[in-house]
Amino acid sequence: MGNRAEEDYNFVFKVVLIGESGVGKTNLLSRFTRNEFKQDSRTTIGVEFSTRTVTLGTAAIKAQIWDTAGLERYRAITSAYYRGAVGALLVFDLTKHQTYAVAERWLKELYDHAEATIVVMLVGNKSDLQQAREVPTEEARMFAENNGLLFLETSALDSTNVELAFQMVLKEILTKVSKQRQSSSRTNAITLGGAQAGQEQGPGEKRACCISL
Amino acid sequence: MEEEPLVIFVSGEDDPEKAEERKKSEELRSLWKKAIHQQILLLRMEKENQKLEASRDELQSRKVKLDYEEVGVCQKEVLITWDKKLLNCRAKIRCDMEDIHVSLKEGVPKSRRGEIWQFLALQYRLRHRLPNKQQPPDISYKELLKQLTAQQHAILVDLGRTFPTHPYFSAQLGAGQLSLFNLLKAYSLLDQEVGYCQGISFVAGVLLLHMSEEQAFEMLKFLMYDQGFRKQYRPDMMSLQIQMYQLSRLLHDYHRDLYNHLEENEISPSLYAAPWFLTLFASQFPLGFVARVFDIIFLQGTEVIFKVALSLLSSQEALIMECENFESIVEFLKTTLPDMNTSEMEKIITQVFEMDISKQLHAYEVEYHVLQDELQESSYACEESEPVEKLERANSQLKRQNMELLEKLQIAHAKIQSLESSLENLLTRETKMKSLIRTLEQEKMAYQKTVDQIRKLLPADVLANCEPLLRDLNCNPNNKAKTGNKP
Repeated sequence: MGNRAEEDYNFVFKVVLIGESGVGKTNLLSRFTRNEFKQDSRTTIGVEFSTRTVTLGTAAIKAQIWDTAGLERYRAITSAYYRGAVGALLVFDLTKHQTYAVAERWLKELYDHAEATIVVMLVGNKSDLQQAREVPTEEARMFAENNGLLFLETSALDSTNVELAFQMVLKEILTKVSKQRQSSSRTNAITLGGAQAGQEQGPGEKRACCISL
Repeated sequence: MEEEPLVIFVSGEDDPEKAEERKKSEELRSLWKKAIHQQILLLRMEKENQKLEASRDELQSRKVKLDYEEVGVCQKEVLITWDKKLLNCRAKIRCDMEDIHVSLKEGVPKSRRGEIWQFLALQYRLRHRLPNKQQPPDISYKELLKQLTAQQHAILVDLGRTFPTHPYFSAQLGAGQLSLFNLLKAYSLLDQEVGYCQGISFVAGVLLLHMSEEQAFEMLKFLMYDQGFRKQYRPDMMSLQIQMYQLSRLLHDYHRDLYNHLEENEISPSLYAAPWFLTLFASQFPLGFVARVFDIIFLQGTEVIFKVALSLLSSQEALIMECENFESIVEFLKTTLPDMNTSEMEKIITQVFEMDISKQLHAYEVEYHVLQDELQESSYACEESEPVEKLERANSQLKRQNMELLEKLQIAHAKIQSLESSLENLLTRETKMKSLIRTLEQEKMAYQKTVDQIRKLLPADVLANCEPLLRDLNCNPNNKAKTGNKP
C-alpha cells in the first residue's frame, strides 16, 4: 500500500532503544526514521524520540521510538520512559565486548520498569567493522535464544539490517496485539497485560488505536 | 652561545712551510668560524620562525575557538570599562556588584570573555567562601594529568560527540579533543564522587573555547564546587530530580496555562530540560547564546538555568500552546526553540537579568523534600497487592491535591499573618480605650465631688432652683446605663 500519511495509522507502538553509551543507538534511530547517519552526532543527554509510520500487511503502524542515554547514572531519569513501551532494542557494539557483557543487566533494568510481555530484540551494531569484531555472532545468538529475545546484527553506517530489525520487532508486537484483539472484546484501547491510559488519545486521531502496557 | 671551533692546530713557528700551513689553517679556521656562525644564525632564524608560527597558530586557534556569532553587540565604551575592571582583577580588589551587573548587562566582548569569567569567579570567591569540607582536594592540574583515570573509556567515547560540528573540536584527536580529554580526565580524578558524567564535556568545552587548559580547569572547579553544579552530576542524580520539580513548580505558579498544556500532554521537564541543566544549555543552543548564559552564570550561579528556562518557555508560550500533541510539542522544544534568531535571544537574556526567583526556588526545594517524605510514608502504608495503575492514579491525584493544599497553605499563612497583625492592632486599641475610660471615670468622680460640695454650700432655695440642672448633669449616658442596671 506504500507509505501512508503520517497521521493515518491504526496503531501506535512505543519502542525503546537501550544499551551502553556509544554503541550507536542514536544513529540506528536516525537511520530508521530519516535514513540518515551522522558521523558527528552529539552525545544523547537524557531522552530523545522520533517517529515513523510503516505499513505491515493491512495495518499502518506508527512507531514511536525512544532513544535513551546509555550512561548508567542517567537511568534514574531514562527508566521512567520505559513505561508503556511494547518493544525494545537492546543494542551492543559488536566491536566492544564490554557492551555485550552487560546485556543481562540492561535486560533486568528493562523488565523492572516495563511489562514482562514487552518484545525485545538483541542488536549487535557496527557489523561494518568486521575486522574489529569482539563478540562472535553465535555467542550473542545463543544468549538471545536463552533469554527469549529476537536477534540481529546491524550496521547503522551502511544500513545493513536496520530496517529489518525494526520491522521484525514491530511485526512481533503486531502479532501479539492481534491475538490479544481476537480474544478480547472490541475496545478501542488495546493492551498487552495490565491496562493503562496511552499517550495518544487526542480527539484529532480518529483511526488511532493506542497500545500500551 | 657562540663557540670557538674545537680545532687545535699544533703549530711550528718559523718554518715557511709551516707558515704556509699556518696560513692554510688560519683560512680553514676562519672558514669554520664562518660556517658555524651561519649555522647559529640559521638555528636562531628557525627558532624565531617557530615562535612566529606558534603565535600565528595561537592566533589562528583563538580565531577558530571563538568562531561563533555573538548575541548582543558590545559597545566600545563597554570594552573600556571591562578593561579597567580586569586591571583591578589582578589586585584582587572587591568591585561593586551593582556596577558589575550593569556592565555585564551591557555586554561582553568575546575576545575578553575568558578573562571576564575569571574576573567574575574571583569576585564571587571574594564574597562567598566555601566551607572547608566542600572544598575540592588541593591537587594541581599538572599532578592530576600524570595519573590514570578509571573513566577513560567514558570520556573517550564522548570526545567526538561534544560540539562535533565546531572546528576546534571536530578533528579526531586534534588540539581541541586532546585538551578536552586532559581537562575531563583531570576533573574526574579531582572529584572522585562525580568522576565523569555526560554533560560535563559540554561545559568543559565552552570553557576551553575561551581560555587555556589550566585556566579552564580552574573555572570548571569554580562552577562545580563554588557554584555547586557538581551536585546534579552525582551518581544518584537526586539534585537533578529536585531541579526538575522546581522548574515544574515555577511553571505551575507563573505560567499556569502552559503548565496545564504540558501536563495534559504528559510532558515533564525531564523530557526537555534535562540537557538544559546538565550542559548549561551548551548541547542544543547556539554558542553565542550559550556564552551569554555563561556570563550570567558566573555572576549568579545555578539559578540562572531556571531563569533562562522560564524565559525561553514563556517567550514561546503562544507557539507551544499551538502544538496540539505530545510529539509536536517535544519536537518544538527540542528543535525549534534552540533555533530562534539573535534578537529573540537578546530579549531572553535581557529578561533573565531582571528576574529574581531565589526565594521561590528555595521554597520549592523544601516542598520537594516534604512531598518525598510523605510519598515514602504513604508507600509504606499501601498494600502491595494493589494494581500499579490504581496506585499511579491515586499518586497523581494525591500530587495534584498536594499542590492544591500547598497553595491553600500559602494563602492560609498569608491570612494568619494579616489576622495576627490586625489582632495586635485591636489589642493596642483596647488598652488605649481602657486607659481612656479610666481617665474619664476619674474625671467623672471629680465632677461628682464638686457637685456635692456645691450642693452643700448653696442655700436651700437656690438649690431648689438648681435641682433640674443637676438632674440633667446626672443624666449622662454612663449614669443612665448604671441606673438601667440597677432597677
